[in-house]
Amino acid sequence: MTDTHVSDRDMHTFLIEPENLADHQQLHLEQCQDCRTRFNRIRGFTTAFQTHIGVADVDWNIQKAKILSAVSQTKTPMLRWRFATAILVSCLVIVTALFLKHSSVQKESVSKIDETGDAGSTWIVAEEMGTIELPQTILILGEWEREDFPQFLNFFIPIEEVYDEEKNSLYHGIHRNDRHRSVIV
Amino acid sequence: MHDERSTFGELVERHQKKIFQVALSILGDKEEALDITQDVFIKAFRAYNDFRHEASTETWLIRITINRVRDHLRGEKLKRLVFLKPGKALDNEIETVADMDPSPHEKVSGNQLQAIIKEFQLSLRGRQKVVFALRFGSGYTIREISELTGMSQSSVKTHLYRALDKAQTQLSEWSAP
Repeated sequence: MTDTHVSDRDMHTFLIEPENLADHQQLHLEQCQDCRTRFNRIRGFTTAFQTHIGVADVDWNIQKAKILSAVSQTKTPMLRWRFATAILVSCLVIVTALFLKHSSVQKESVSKIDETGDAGSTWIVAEEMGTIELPQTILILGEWEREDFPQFLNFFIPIEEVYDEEKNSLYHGIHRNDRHRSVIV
Repeated sequence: MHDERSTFGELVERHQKKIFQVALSILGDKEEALDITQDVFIKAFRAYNDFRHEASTETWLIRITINRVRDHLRGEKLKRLVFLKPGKALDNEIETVADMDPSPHEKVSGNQLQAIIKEFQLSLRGRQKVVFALRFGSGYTIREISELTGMSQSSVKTHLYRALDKAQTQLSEWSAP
């Protein structure tokens, strides 16, 4: 037997991973009364801990009934899926309805431009050319087409002259910086 | 639907004791452990379709239990911080247990030992508490604890050593004249 007593740390090793305690220490533990007493105290504590857990008196049939009752009050996974699907479909219907309504409103405003615009005199076009959909407030432009139009616009919005090299002509551009969009008149 | 509940009833019957034992060994409170057990099965029921059976059902349920217990412990800690609620008094928790004397060398009475264990449980921090309970309360190996908690094996051991140091200190204090 070695004279060196087994440390607390080694005793803990023996409890946690017994295979890692050196043979001579195991031998010492078997033969040394003091070390064995110390070891039995801590091992006794862990055993008592386990016993302490095992003593709870529970009626498992009642517990099972309680659990199943609680479970029955919750939505089943299938019902949850159905609920989620219903929500998703509803959202899709709402979004589609809003989209359709929005596009019909846009069609109306485009047609209003066509009605108020006077062909052959003034066209309202986008920078990339072609007809555009403008806010209702711009529709009033159509009514001022016979007047000094750039001057009228200049009264409200700064006008910028834009020279189109291809067409060799000068346009008056209204730059809507807030939307990064230009409208050429 | 009926079959689903019937199958689940069997699952409850088979695993409720183990789940309760794990929860009790960590929390040390019977009522709290029973509540946790119920919560675990409700969660399991909701998630059962997503369970991939990569681990055994017991492992899956114990993982849910550990997570639920951790949440509970965090909640308790927060309550104590916010409301300055003291820890439970040891005297109220002591139950009579027969044959608690662990060895002929240990001369403390069953009730004293109960008190030491209770005090010890309260002194442990979150992970120490979980790891110690799984090792010495439920008998899981280091590898199993690592799988259940997601901690590395060396981390599990570190927490076990620290917990045993605390136990040792507490035993010394009690046995000191």
